[in-house]
Amino acid sequence: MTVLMQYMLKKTALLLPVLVGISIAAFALGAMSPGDPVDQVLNPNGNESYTREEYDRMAARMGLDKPAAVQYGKWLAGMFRGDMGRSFFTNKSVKGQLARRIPISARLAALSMAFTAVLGVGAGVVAAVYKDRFPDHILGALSMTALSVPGFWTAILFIWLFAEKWKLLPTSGIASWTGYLLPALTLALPGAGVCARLTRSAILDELGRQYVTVAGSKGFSRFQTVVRHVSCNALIPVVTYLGTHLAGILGGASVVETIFAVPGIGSYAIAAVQSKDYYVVQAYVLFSGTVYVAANIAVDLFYIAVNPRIRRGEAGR
Amino acid sequence: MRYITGKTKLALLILTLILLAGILAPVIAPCDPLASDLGRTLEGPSREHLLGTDNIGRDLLSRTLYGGRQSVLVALAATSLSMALGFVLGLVAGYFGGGADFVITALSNIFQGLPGLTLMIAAAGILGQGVTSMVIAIAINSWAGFSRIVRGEVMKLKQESFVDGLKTVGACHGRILFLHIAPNIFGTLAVVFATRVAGNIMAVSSMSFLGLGLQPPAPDWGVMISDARQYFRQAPLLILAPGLCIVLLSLSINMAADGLRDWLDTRRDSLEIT
Amino acid sequence: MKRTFSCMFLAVCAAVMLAAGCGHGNEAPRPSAPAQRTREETARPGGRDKGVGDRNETEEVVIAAYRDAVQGSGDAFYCWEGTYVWEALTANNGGVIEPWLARSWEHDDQCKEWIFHLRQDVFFTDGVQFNADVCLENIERWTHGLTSTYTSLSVEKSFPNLADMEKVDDYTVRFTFKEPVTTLEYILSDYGSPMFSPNCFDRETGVIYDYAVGTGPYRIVDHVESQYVVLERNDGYYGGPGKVKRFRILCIPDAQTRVSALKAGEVMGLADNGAITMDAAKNLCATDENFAMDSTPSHMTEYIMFNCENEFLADRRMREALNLATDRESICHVLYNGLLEPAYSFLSTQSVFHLDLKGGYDMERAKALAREVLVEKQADRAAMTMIIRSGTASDYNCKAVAEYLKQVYGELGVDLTIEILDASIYKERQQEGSYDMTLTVFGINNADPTSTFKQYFASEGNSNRPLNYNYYNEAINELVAKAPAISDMEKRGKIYDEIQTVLFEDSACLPICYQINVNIHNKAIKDYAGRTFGVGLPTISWTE
Repeated sequence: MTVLMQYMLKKTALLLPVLVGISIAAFALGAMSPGDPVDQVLNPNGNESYTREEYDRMAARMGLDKPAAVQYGKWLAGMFRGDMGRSFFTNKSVKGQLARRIPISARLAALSMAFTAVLGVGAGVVAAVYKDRFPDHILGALSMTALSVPGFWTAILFIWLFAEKWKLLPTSGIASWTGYLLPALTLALPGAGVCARLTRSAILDELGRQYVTVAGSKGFSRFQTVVRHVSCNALIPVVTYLGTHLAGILGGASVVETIFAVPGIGSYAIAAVQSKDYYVVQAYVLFSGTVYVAANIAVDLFYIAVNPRIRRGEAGR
Repeated sequence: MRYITGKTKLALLILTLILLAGILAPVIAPCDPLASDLGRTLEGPSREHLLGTDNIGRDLLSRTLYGGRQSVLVALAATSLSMALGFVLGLVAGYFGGGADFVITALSNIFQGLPGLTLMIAAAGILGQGVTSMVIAIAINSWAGFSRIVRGEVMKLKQESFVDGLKTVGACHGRILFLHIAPNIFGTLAVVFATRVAGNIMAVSSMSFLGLGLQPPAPDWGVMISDARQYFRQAPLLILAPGLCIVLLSLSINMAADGLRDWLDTRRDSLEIT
Repeated sequence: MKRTFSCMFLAVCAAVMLAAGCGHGNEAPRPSAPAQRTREETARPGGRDKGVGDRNETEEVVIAAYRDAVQGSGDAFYCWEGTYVWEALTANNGGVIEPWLARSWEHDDQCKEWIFHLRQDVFFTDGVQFNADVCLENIERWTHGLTSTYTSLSVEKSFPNLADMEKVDDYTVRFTFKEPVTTLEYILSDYGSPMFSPNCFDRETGVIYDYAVGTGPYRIVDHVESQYVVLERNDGYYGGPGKVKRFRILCIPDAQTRVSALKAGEVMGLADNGAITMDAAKNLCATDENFAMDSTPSHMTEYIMFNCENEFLADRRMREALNLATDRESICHVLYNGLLEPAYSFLSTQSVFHLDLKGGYDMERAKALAREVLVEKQADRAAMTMIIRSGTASDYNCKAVAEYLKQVYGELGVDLTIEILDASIYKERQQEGSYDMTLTVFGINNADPTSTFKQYFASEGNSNRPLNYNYYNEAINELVAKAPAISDMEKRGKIYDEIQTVLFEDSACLPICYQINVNIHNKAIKDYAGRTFGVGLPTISWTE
């Protein structure tokens, strides 16, 4: 157990500088962006004028009158106090916004991951069972296609077909839970493709290693054999993938969220980047970085749980 | 198992066709992709316009043929740049270990932890819109994946006996690295490269779709889809043609990468690196 | 161990799915989407006969907006004017200033003293009566430097050079100024003077508490940020209550998704002008008989503004060449679906001072003129950059116009590079002067066109040099200086005519077309009319 603790401590210690680095990168992105947010606030329509004093007052209020390093320090100190600042334009607390939006994105990500896991693992198992036969070929082609389709295109087609033509699901919004289905499916498709391929090859590897002969058996019995003999080890790449996939969706579903009018953090971030709302962008980048780091740790924990060698302290090799 | 399957051959065929169409676009395109004719907007397929026309009367087929050129070039350039960067850094990190490894690994972790699209949008904002900034933005976003893989491979190879042998013979680090270790990684790298190109083509079209990529009126699939959203109910081809091209291109690259992996007998699944 | 872990993995998956599903259970129950309800009702043939009035009472009308109609406490206005929650002293209705909470006003000869007479029958939805005290208290509120995403709100802006304000009687207020203010009723219109109940904002900071309380025909009853706002009729409204009891305004940021939501019957209309491009509206009406489009005039005009520091554009002939090559008729007819009028004079048809000029389209002459200039400058072709603000490009379908013009100007030997830029970068480029022309859409201060002429074309105009239009014409400078001193409107009109003629003959800029506001709605609702800010909610009702 102590070895495990040590391992985890070491891992966490290694990831801490990553978080600091991400926070600096997040800040630099804002500081380097062209355009003047003070001007944007004072002159939202582009046709109003203001005096130098008004400008200086607003800059001071927005905390943009200090040098970048001081700004970063203040921002970081605020972060530790749990104060993420306010949006320049809407004056809303960034923390409040994140608190409101993260659960929405999390729901979307969870549903999407569920789709990915079910579709991906399911297709992968079936493909492995029917290796080199018709279902395998079809699923192989499908999963390859799924991971080659750009999300925005799928989104447009889905809205057109499911909402406009067949009126089965709402086009957008999350007023009812059905609103999550289309965006989740859109986000899940490429992941499901990858997941299916990983599952298939993992199972086949495993079967090959265990000298399990399934060639002779057919149908259901084959399926049983596969399920019985596949251990968690085979799932390692799949789970690793799902972990990063979840982190990716949680932090990066910007385009899909915008198209489907899902008020999660992705659409918030994209709007903020475009309007140079620094504090929002910084908080968002830090959040998605944290999710990434957390996902990494979770995946590591999973490795440790399934791989006894690490537990026994052979991790260093 | 060193053979090329029918599937791979098909993929290579499609890929070649798409690339040829892009390269030969100036020769084979029936019309100027920028020439508009306000008298003939949103027409369906006809003899003069095999795929019909868009909202300002430009020939859809010609635009589709031209539409892949920039995306492919940008994706290739960006992937090459990120591979070069990732290759060198990964080599250094894996071979020397220690402090260099720590710094490079931390850096690659940082860059992998930054949200991809947001980073690219921000980079496009900082660098200004255009091809160059898109290449840089994508390269910044994807070098870390390469560096990780190269580092892993180098660490594996380092333990093999021939490296120790070379060291005892007195070969210098540079020689061992570039003449003996690097060539052994090229197989894996080629597979990863191909997969990454497919991914980056999607990234380029996403950025174009958001209006952050190529400036109008340059024909580009992502931009064409985004522009066509207003009109596709009347002319579905406006959205289907460029969309299918992106899918086919990326699909054929992915399948070719798959075939390449089998052919090189690289154990690693190229998709683990996403 | 392996088995346990498999179980754990499955359990985690299940938990994740449950969490995804359960999240909704925790939220307040919401009424089902009205579109679905509509279908249920029509599907019930023997159902109880519902009169129109009944339907207006029971069924909410859902409309969509591009952003949350309620910005909340942090915003000076709390919500968009189109929600009909708050009202102002005066209203700008398509350029005409109308009484609102102020029923009349007057000023002295010098325009230094203004008196506003307030309505006496107005109550806020919390029961407080609107009167002179409340009015002044609201104006005090604007001194706190409130920010807003709509427009800025401050006393300096609404009452420039204010010396004093006082209550004359319970329903009369007087403002005195240090400098003359000629168009106060215009400045105070709409976002210039929002009035809120004194109980709903903090007197120290001016910040509105959780809910805004106004005098308007509707009030906010439910708001989920970035998703929707529900408005309910204010039955005690002095102007007569609205027809539909409840409205729901959805926030759908993506323009094309809004169109899809209309097509799918999820929303009945769009809340604001510009929520749909003319093109999309026309297409939708042409292809789907469930929709009707209405358009209202707008004071916005689409222009190409030049940077006259460009060596070619400094030459009048080059500008004229571009002018002659710009086929407004085709642009309006094809790209704008025949909905817009071609523009030749600077002031739009909405302005009382509009001068009816007619330019021509003459490609041959344009080519000859351009050639002359190019030969003189010993250039083969001229490279120029056209910048467009990304918001303008998406709101007005400018991109298609630019792409078309690139081709046409190419024939003149002008190679256009189009750059669509974010607002902030666009502004920087203008300030730096690193552009040659810009395709832009702006409106004109109708009350006083002199200020607009001065702003854009006079040498000391506050847009001309700072934004690098760099236009110089002594005749314009003289005319602009002369105009304000002329009090006789007819004579002043003559000067405006002269200015417009000079600008046209000098091709100082290229007006392309006069914009209109289009809006679109499902025929299930009627009396849906576009206003300066949003649609007129109170008149809307269900058709059946």
